Amino acid sequence: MLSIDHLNISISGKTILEEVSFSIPEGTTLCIAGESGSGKSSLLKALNGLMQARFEQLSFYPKTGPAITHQGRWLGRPGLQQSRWVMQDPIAALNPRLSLGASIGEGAYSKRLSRSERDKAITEALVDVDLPSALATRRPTEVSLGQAQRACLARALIAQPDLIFFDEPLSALDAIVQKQVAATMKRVQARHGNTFVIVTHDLGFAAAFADQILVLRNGRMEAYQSAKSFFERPTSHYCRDLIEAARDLGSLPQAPIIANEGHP
Amino acid sequence: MPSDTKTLLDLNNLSVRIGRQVILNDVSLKIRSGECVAIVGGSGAGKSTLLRCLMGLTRPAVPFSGLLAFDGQEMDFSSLERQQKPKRIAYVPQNPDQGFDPLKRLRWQWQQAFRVITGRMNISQVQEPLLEELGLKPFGACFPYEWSRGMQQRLLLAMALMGKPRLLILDEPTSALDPLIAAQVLRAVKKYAEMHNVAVLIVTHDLSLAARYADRTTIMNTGRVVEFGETSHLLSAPQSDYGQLLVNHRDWITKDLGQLSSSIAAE
Repeated sequence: MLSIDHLNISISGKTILEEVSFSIPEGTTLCIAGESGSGKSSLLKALNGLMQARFEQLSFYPKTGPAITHQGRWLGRPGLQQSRWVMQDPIAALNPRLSLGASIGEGAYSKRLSRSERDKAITEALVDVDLPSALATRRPTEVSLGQAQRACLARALIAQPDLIFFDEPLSALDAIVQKQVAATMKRVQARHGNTFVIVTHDLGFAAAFADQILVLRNGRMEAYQSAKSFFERPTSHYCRDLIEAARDLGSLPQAPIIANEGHP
Repeated sequence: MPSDTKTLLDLNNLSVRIGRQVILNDVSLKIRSGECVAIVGGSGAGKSTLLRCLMGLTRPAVPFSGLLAFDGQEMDFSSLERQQKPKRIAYVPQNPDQGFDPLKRLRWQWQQAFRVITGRMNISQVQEPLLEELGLKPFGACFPYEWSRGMQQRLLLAMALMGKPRLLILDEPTSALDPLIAAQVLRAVKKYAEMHNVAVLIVTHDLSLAARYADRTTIMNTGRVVEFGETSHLLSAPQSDYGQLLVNHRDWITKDLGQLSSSIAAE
């Protein structure tokens, strides 16, 4: 679906991201993990054309529409067509003056739908994310955080994107609602076959959701592995620390007893 | 289990309102000295309001009934007189952005904290052993941003521990921090608490964190305490529906996500 070769970002001489490469097969999930300031959000911004980046090769193969391949400097406006972005804080991401329905409808702006078609699409998108369609008339302040985040997801889905970026989609929510929204995301992916790129620092969530994991540290790739092998056989000392920390916080279950292979 | 099982904090029937809305309803809480207690609840459950009341901050939330006994001091929330704040409770905020003034040097901020707690200005003797215990180097004329967030958070912890508290309150220690930093801070807390017999109160929305650290756990929902008991006991046999929901959904991996959503829909 999307493959990136040697992405570099630097702002006024300071390197933000260095030699980042990955490729995502269609319908799978890539989780990008890393501490704050490691360049996770910069990566998303660069892919969405909000930040200038330099690629050796960028290829994007949407299910419908022409493939994009690009080399060299890329401002990328308007980013990758057929991709959408779900932000971290749903209340900040939704216009407080618009009803949820109107906000969701904006996602389909480029499709030039008639009013009745649009209303139908909004209802479908709401049902898709397990919200009652009556919520379309409410304002963001009148719904719970979890519902607002689902509405953001609906706004992305209404455009039928092939690729959805999530920037810490769950960190503003509390523990139970996190799992409900995650379940919705999982179901949406199963139904529509979207490809997900999720930035998160909750490794427990990554373990439950990801097919591949990319760990960034100080703008460099620390690890890029399938999720299974990442948790079973972390390649570097830093990754082992990360997993250890997640276990300490209880977001990953305690280590199964495996014989220690090799040396750190 | 702590060997000294004297009750440190005893809160009885605290009720609080903001405006006309009742935020806390008959909340009772007991903490023994040296143990670790967790308060778990979703957003809007009244966790932060409870914390503020424990620290004697009664605005905007106004308590209208309740009795607090802490370490030999008593507070009656039902009387309207201005209360004295309980002493020797220390509080570590969610993240260092809240705790530090970004424009003041660390040394200055440390001195302020020291002066408030002891009423003296000279800080040289107290500083060293406490910082060393938390694995921090002495700060010169640094600004907060010159330190990593993990170090800032541990310094906040050091400032909280300066007054030798009997009860240490951690507000959502994991939600605003990287897992690496949060784990680091919690390890430091655990070590210190064991050495100095300090009770720790962790406020979180995440039961798995409580399961990892707390001896006893309180589950709150919509301003009421729905469960209170030994963590292990609570995890194996939750009494209330909300507790059951939390226990079932505490891990990411234990349950298939699709199955999880259908069970929630059935609620």
